[in-house]
Amino acid sequence: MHAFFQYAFLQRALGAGLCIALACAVLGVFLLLRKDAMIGHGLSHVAFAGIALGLLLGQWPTAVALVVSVAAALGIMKLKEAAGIYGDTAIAILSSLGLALGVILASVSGRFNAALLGYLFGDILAIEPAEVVLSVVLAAAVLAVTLIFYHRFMYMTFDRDAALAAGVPVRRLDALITVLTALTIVLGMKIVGILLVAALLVIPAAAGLQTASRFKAAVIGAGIVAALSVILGLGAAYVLDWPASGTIVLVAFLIFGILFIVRRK
Amino acid sequence: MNRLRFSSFLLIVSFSFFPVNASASSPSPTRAAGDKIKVVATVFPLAEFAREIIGDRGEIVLLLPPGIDVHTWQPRISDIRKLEAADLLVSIGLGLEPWLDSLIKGMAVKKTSRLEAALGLDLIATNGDEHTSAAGRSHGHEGFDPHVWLDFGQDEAIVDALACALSRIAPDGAGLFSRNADVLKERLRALDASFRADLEKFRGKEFFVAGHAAFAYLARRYGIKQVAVYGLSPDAAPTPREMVEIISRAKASGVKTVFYEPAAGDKMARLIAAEIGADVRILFPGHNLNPEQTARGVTFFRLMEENLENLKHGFAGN
Repeated sequence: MHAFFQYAFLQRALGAGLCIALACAVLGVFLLLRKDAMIGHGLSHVAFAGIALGLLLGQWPTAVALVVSVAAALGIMKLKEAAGIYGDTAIAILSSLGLALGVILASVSGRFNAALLGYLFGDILAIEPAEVVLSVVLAAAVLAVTLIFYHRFMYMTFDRDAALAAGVPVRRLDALITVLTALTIVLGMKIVGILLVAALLVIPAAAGLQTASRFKAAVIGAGIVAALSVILGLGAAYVLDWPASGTIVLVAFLIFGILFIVRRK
Repeated sequence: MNRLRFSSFLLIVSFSFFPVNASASSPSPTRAAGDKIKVVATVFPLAEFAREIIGDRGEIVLLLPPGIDVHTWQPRISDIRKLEAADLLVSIGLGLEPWLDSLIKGMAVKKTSRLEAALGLDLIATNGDEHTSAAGRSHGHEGFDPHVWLDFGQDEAIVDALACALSRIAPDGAGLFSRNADVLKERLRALDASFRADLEKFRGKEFFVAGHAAFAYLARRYGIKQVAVYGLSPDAAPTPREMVEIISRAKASGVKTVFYEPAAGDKMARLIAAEIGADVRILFPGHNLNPEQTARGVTFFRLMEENLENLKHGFAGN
């Protein structure tokens, strides 16, 4: 374990991994309760189109991907509300469209290569100092918004109609969660990779919801599971000589599985 | 010796994929003497060599668009048309162009001759440093490092094979092709000599590539040692312990420069360099240029000279 104190890249992996895991875990609880578990998967495909568009325009690919993903996330929300389309259908439609546009744009721009892949698939072992700072800011923003709107979020998550009737700005708060999710997915996939972000949005939150009977406990539980997954996952990846992202996801799943079995007994 | 073995191979193997209309006495009955020869090359060095040899007698199409990684490229329908229209298709083989077989299957007209440049060369097996020749094998190409053009001696054999293949397609140009090939081989020998002269004093030293292991042929020719973060394919990411091992090995061998290659980007190189207090330089495997280099008209020789400068910088630092 001394390697973790000796090598800056492992410390950066741990720091950025923990921050992004926490942001994902907290948002994940809201998303799962809204039955939006696949949104991470869906938005990552849309971000692919955004990156390709940014490379084609020659401007700030990550920023373009952010704008496109936020727009798509809001579009998914609108599709659900206005057309009465199920959430997973809306996600499937937009993610397919995103993938198709991404392939076409990348081919047209002639840069279907490392630049594109570099923007899409971060590597938790190759995190730069600036990206650690970005992760801290992201986690702080997600946690701050959650704390500020905590009661309203909880109210609308459990009883949307009552919240509407009570004058809670449900649409705007929905949009806020959606935008934060898009932000977390795009920045997270650039920093730690898409596999990890999609998994961290779902598995720790699912584990937290397994164990807790109260909302607050579920959010805190999800955060703890997320943090443990990153710490134990990175450690195990080092000891077993396995790929880091995959091992973190596996550890998260094992924790979820244990909680699931314990709960059933 | 290589060259002898190679030419016998050329006759047997390289034209057996698409037999050039066997019944006709002239190799390609649709071609009138003096017609431009159309050559499709899969990667940049082959296109460069073919262009030099063919002179004004033909035109070269480079299949791989600028800036694209050869391992992950997806061909388009228009690329099949390019192959159908060509007289000669030159590829490396050994699995470097995994998309080529399906392209060939898609061709409606199969009159194109084919040359696989790696056939008969002195190949490096991908497991270990053992030198192995593909001569004993038929065409089951996996298991060998395909970056053969980074051995400038073997490039001479490729140039000979190209000239020979072009002469079969356009016998009236044979004299020109062989003269141009001689000029090109002379330039390759000069390039080889400058690498040998400049790298001689660093024999046995290690250079670290934070990318895929594309430089084994160059390392073998000049007696230096390549240590690569990724394997032969650029998308196999290292585990944490592999990273730690590479960093401690780089530290132990006193490396002052970490190299990266364009396909993998410089992120990993900068990471390792930061851990050991080194700087970062680029090394081009050369199978492709980026769009900016293409616009500038960078040649294969220019690219390799830049590699030599960067290697010298890296070795001189430690």
